[in-house]
Amino acid sequence: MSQSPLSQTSLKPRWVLAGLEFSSRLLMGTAGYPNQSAMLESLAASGCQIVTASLRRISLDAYQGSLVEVIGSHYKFLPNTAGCQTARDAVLTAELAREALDTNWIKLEVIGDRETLYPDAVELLSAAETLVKNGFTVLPYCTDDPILCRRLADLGCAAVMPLGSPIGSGQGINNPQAIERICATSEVPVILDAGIGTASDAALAMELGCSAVLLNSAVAKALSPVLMACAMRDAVAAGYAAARAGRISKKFYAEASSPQLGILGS
Amino acid sequence: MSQTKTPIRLRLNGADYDSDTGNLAELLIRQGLKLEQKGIAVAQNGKIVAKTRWSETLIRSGDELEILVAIQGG
Repeated sequence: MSQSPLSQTSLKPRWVLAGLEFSSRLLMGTAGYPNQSAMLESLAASGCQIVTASLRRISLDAYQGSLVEVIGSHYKFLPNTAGCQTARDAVLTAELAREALDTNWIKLEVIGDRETLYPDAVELLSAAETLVKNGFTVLPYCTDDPILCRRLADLGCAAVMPLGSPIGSGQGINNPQAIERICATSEVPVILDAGIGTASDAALAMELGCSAVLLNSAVAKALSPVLMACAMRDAVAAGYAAARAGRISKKFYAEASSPQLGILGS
Repeated sequence: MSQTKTPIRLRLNGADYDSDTGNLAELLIRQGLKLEQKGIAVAQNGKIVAKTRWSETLIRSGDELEILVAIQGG
């Protein structure tokens, strides 16, 4: 018996990342919200199940508590190595994150400089290799380079996370052809990370074939973070459904959709 | 007459720090941390010190300690 179209299109399409099943394909950052309640409400509105965190030296004068105390156990933590510029620092940060958050998942970021925040591919590959060998589930933030993505997957990374455009820029996806190519050939899930500005960017990422989208500033710095979180939730779901539905081909000229026979005056 | 103990000179989170205890767990408590608290990690001279070993870990002059906490991130 064939399935009805409705039953084929679950509203919350499940997917597997590093052996765990998730119903939301939206991963959310936790930084830069106007206040704590805006963050918590936005995370809830987004429907996300995975949230990112960073590790920083505690303030010796005024310790404010950890993110775990704020967020609790509602979400799976994905700690990052944001700000690290060498493989050595990224590996140590990952080890500290594993200890602090009791997870071997790591969003591996090794940036080349603090101005562009572009990934340093050489250091990234080196850190990824070490961390995979040390038992980490490595999710590397990388450039939109199909070859680099393949090399990261070959090293044993659980996913690849190419940027849409520079971190926090809100430029959207600057090279959709590259993202589409990565998605078409990758043997691990592709998570679009960085550069998302608005809901249509997130939908496009999914239409290009991404498994999920990770974003932060687009929601945290929106005029209404909660409303934007709802928009991102729906955009990711819509983009995923559209990718599976199959878009029509583009044509050079118009093609009438109404029947052409029997038009008055013809 | 009470004896004055010589403080232990450390590098703590990248800055000089004089500790009057030689025990890691005691030092953490003096920083306002609770030992059972989640989201905290410690490295001593570049190596992670597991939570289960905090109370038995000795700190010495010249040690480099890093105490990190999970915070908001993207």
